[in-house]
Amino acid sequence: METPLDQPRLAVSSPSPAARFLRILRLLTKNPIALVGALILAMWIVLAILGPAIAPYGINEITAGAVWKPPSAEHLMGTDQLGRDIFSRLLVGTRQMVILPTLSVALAILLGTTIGLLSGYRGGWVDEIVMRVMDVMMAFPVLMLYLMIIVAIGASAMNVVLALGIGATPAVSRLVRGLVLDLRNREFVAAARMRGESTAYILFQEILPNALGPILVDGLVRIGYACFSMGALGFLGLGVPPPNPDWGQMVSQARNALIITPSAPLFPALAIASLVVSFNLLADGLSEAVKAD
Amino acid sequence: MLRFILRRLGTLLITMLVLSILIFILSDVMPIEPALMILGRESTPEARAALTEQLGLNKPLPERYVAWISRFIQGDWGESYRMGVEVLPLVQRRFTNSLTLAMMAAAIIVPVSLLLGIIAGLNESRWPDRVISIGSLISISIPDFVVGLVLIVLFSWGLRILPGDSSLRGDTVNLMEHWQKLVLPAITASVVLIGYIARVTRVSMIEVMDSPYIRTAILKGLPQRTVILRHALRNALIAPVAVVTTQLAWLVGGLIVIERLFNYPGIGSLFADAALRNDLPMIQASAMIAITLVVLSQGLADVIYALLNPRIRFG
Repeated sequence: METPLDQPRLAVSSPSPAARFLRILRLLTKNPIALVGALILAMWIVLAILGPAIAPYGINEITAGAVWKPPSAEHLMGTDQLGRDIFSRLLVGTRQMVILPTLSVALAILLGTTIGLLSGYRGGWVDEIVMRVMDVMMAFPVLMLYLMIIVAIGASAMNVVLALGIGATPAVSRLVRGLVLDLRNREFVAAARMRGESTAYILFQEILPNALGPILVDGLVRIGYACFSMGALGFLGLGVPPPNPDWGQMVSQARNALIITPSAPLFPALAIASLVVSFNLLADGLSEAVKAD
Repeated sequence: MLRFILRRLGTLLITMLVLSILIFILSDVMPIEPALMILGRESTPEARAALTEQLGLNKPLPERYVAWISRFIQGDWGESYRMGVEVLPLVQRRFTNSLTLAMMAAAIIVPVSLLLGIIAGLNESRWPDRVISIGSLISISIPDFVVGLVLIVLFSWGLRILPGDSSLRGDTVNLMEHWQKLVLPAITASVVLIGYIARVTRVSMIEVMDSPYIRTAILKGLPQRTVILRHALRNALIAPVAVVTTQLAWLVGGLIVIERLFNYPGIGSLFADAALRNDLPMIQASAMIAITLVVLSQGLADVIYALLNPRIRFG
C-alpha cells in the first residue's frame, strides 16, 4: 500500500520507471493467466527462430500423389493442394506472422506517439484538428482500409506492415494524447518548465517515460490484433504473396478442401488464434499488474 | 433534443465528406487504368486516350473528386468493370443481404453479451465471473474466420445439421427460406462482439453496484431484484452502448471475412471480390456504403447514449 506521500504529485523529478517496471514484472509472474500467455508466445517465438531449421520438408517440396492427405506419420498435419507438407509450411510461416505484426505496431507507436505528444502538449486548434482527423479515420472499417491500402500500394511484406501500421496510428495517437493531457499538468512537468527545459526535453524526458507503460500494454493488445488482421488479409488473398507461406492464405486455400480433410484449414487457423490469444492474455495480465502496482 | 440531433447530423456529414475524400484518394492511387479496364487489352492506345479524355480522367484531382461525388449522390454509380452490370442495383441487393445477416447477429449479440456481462458483474471474483471473464477474453482473441471454420467443421462436416456454404441462388436473401444458411455466419459474427461487450458490461456493472445510490437502495431494504432491474441496469448499460459505437467499424470489417468464408453474397464479399479484381467503381461504391452504415449507426448510438445518460442535457 502506498502512502499519499509516495505519489508523483509531490515529486519534483520524474518518478523512476525502471523500478516500477521490475515491480510490475514481479506481479506478472504471479498471474497464471499472464503466464499461460507468455508461455504460448515464447513457444511461437522459439518456432519463429528455429522454424526453417527444424521443418521436416521444404516449403515448396512436393510429395507426389499426396494431395490433401490427412495427418499421418510422414506428414504430421497432412498435405495441401499441391502435396506440400502443411506442418513445414506452418513452421516456416511463423517468422513473418510474429515479425510483421510487431513491426507494424512499432510503426504505429512511433507515428501515434509523435502525433499524440505534439497534439496533446500543444493543445488549442492544432490538437482540435488533428484529433478530429483521427476520429474520422477511426470510423473507417479497419479491414476495408487495409484492403484499399494494399490494393493501392501492392501486396508485399513491407506494404502489409505499412497498411497495418497506418491503420493503427489513430487509436495510438488518441491514447497518447489522453495520457499527455493528464501528465502535462503534473508538478514534475511544471518544475521542468520552470528550470527552462526545452519542449523536446519535457516531451521526451519527462512525459514520454511516464506514458510508456500504458502505451506498451496497449501495444501488446495491438500486436495481437495486427496478427488477427494479417491473417484476415492473407485469408482474403491480399497478404504476403507466395512463395512465403502465409497462414491466412493457407486457411483460405484449404477452405475449399474442407470436405476432403477438415483438419487442413484448422491447423493454420488455430495457429493464428493461439498467437492472438497469447498476446491478449499477456496484455490482460500486464494491465492488471499495472493497475495493482 | 432536436438541436442535439441536428448538431450530431452536422458532424456526421463532415465525417462522411472526409471519408469520401479518403476513399477517392486511395482509389486514385490504385494502379488501375479505367480506360484499359473498360476497353480491354486489345484496344488501341488512341481509343484508350480518347475514353480517358471523355471520362474526364486527366483533369486535376479536386475536379475529378467533385464530379465523382456529385454523380454518386445523384445515384449514378457507374458500371462494374468486371461484371458488366450497373453498380447501384447490385450494391443495393448485396447491402440488404448483409443487413439481414447483421440483424441476425445483433439479435444474438445484444441479449447474450448483456446477460453474460451482468452475471459476471454481479458475481465479481466468484467462479461465474472467472469463467465468463476468461471465456470472453479468449473469444475476443480468436479471429472470426477461425471461429467460422470450427463451426463449419463441427455443424456442417461433423454433425451435418447446418449448411457450411451460404451461397444463395438468385442473390437475394429470404429469411423464411434461407434462415439455416444464416445461422452459422451470424454466430461467427457474434462471437468477438459478445466477448467484447460482455467485458465492458461487467466492468460497468461492478462500478454501478459499488456506487452510493445503489448502496442506499440496498440499505433502504429494497429487494435485490428491484435494485438491479430498476436502479442499476440503466446506468450499467451506458458504457456498453458507448463502446458498441466504436466496434461497428470492426463488425463491418468482420463481415468481409465472414461472407467470404461462407460464400455469402453480401456487401463484404462484394468488396473483397472487387478489391481482388481491381473493380474500381465497385470498390468505391461498397466502401461508401459501408462507411455510411458505420457513420449513421454511430450517430444513432450517440442519440441512444444521450437518452440513457441523465448527465447529458440537451440544448
